[in-house]
This record gives sequence, C-alpha cells and structure tokens, in this order.
Amino acid sequence: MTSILTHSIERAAPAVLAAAGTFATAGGALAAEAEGGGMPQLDPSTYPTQIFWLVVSFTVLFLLMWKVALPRVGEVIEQREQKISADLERAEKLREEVEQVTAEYEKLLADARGDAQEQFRKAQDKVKADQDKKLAKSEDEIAARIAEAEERIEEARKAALGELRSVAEDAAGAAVAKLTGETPDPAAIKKAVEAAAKEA
Amino acid sequence: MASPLEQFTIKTIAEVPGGFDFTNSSLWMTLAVATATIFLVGGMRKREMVPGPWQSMAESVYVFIGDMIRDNVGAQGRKFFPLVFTIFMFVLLGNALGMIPGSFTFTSHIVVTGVLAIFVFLFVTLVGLVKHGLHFFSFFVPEGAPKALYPLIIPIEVISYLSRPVSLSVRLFANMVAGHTMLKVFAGFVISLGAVTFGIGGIAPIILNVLLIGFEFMIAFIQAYVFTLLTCLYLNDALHLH
Repeated sequence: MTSILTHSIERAAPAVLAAAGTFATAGGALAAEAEGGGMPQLDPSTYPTQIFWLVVSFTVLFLLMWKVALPRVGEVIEQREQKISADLERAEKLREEVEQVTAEYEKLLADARGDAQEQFRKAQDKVKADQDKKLAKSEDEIAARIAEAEERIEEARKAALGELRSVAEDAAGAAVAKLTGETPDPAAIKKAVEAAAKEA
Repeated sequence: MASPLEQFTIKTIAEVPGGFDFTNSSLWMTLAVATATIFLVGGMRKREMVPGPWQSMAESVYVFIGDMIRDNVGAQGRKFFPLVFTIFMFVLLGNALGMIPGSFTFTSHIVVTGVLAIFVFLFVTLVGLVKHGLHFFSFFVPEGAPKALYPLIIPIEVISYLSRPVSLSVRLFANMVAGHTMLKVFAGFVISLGAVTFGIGGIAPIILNVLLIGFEFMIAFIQAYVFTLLTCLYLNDALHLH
C-alpha cells in the first residue's frame, strides 16, 4: 500500500521531467502548436463537455453495473457457494450414514463371533461330557473284568491247593507205609496234612 | 512533427447544443461503459457452475473488488460495492483503453479525474455525516492528543482531509499524462534519431518504447487499483472514524 503510493509519487516526478524535457527539445514550436500554449488539459473551454459526458457515462455505467451486471455475477457465485456447501453437507450426511452402517456391521460381526464361540464352547463341553461318561463306563467294565479274573485265579488257586493236599496225603500215606510197613489210617493222614498246611 | 501533448487534445465528433459536444473523450467514455458491460454480462451469459475463461475473468474482478471492500471497509462497506466497482471499472478501462494506439485516454484530463475525486470526497463525507451526524467532526480531533495542541492539530487534520481530492485526482492525472507523454517522446526519438542515422539510431528508442508500453499497462492497472483502494480507505474512515 505505502509502496504503491510512494511509487505513484515517484511516477509523478518523471511526468514533470518528461514534460520539461519535451518543452526543452521542442522549444518554442510547442507553444505555438498547442492552442493557448501548453497542455490541452488546461483549456477550460473543454471542461463543460468533459464533465457532462463524464457524469452521463459514469451514471450509465453505475446503473448498468448495479442493476444488470453485478447481480448476475453475484448470483452465479452465490449459487456456486450454495451448491458447494450443499454438497459438503450431503457428503457429511453420507459419511455419517457410512459410519452408522459400519458400526452396525461391526456389531453384527461381533455378535456372530460371540455366538460362534458360545456354540463352540457348548460343543466342546458336550464332547468332554460324553468322553467322561464313556471313560467312566469303560473303567467300570475294566474293574468288573479285573474282579472276574481275580475270582478265576482264586478258584484256580483253591483247586490247585486241593489237588496239592491230596497229592501230599498220598505221598504221606505212601511214605508212612514204606517206613512203618503198615497202611496208616487215611483220616489221621488227612488230619496231619491239614495241620502241616496250617503251619505253612 | 506533432507535439507529444497533441494526443490529449479534445476533438469534437458531433456538436451538441449547450457546449456538451460529443468529443473523442466522450467516445472513449462510452466505449469504456460498453466494454465493462459487455465484459461482465457477456462473461456471465452461460451462468456456468464451472466457469470458462471469460466467466472466470468476470468473476475474478467481482471477487477482487469484493475482497478489497471486505478487507478495507468491513461488512458495512458491502452496500457501497456497486459504486466502488463502477469507480474501479471506469478508471481501469479509461487507463487501459487509452493504451490502444490512436485512442484517447480520458483519465489524462485533470477535469475528469478532478470531478471523480471530488465526487468520491463529497460522497464519503456525506456517508460520514449521515452515519455519525455531527459526531463525524470528531474525526478531525486525534485521540489521545494533548488539548493544548488542538489549535495546531485540528487545522492540520482539516487541511489533510481537504487535500484528499487533490492528491487523488492529481495522482491519476499525472501518471496518465506522464506515461503517455513519455511514450510519445520516445516514439518521436525513433523518427528524429532514425532520420539522421539511416534508421540505426531508431532501434534503441523502439526497444525502450516496447518496455515502456508494458510498464504503462502496469501503471494503468495500479492507478485504477490505487484510486479504488483510497476510495475504500476514505469510506472506512467515514464509517468507523479513526
């Protein structure tokens, strides 16, 4: 601002210089050429027409600008601004909508994930319970079979023991007969073997 | 050879009774009005959302002056937009159309710039008086100055206020006269130096003149800008006082 003003003041200086130079070069011829001697701007006889046409043209220009030209420009600029702000508003609304849809989608996704986990957990529990039951059942079975086998072993042991006693009685009878030469009483032998078995 | 000042001569084109002859000055004022109107109305004829080059230019001038008022006068300046815009267009086209060879620069006449400046001065003063009433005259009393200095300061303020139309009109007038005279002087050198040196001496002034013409276009714009900007600043003073 200040620089422009300073500049225009500086600009005025060459005006004087140029004018002075012109006068110097052209000499007295200039004064004779320009009527009244000097600048046409200083001839007051031209002032009325200049002022009149200035007022007319400036007024016409003002009315044309005010009533015709400027409203058109202003209208278009305003329309554009309105459209831009409307578009921005719409974009904002769409963005909000997108956010809402995204939130819904994410909620749905989270629900589904939770559901899946729940089902998975249930299935796991069921399988585990099933397994436990089967395991318990087979353990019972195994215990029953073990008991059965033990019973059988006990029986076999008793049978084997009974046989062993009769063999022992026979062997004892034969041994007594050989040593004493007489056949012992089978009841006495049985008694003696039983007593020996008890001692063992 | 014609005087460099001959280009400023007022020539009657058609006589109008009462001394209001239609002259070359009137012709170029009319052309300025027509050019400004065609430029804006023609540029906006399509009213496009996405403007073409012409519409862009028309809109940018509108925005340029709109911003100038908003920045320098504020929201209250909005209602003076058509007037300020008209002043800008009138001065700008007066300066710029004067760059057409053989045309006439009506802003090179002190009576034209003077009437414009006095109009701006009176209008601005009237705006100040209407808005603030007699309180407007407090504008001439600087705030915070010691009362003892009032007899000195107030006359200075009044004189500086009254000299506004003088500086406003002379600045524009002198710039236009100086530029156009200088162009003519150097153009004269082309002939006078060329005539005695078989044309060789004319080369330097031609080159200089080409540069000067470019410079003159810049001056044409800057002076229109300065005239309008000062109008805005004066309006701001009148509306806001200090």
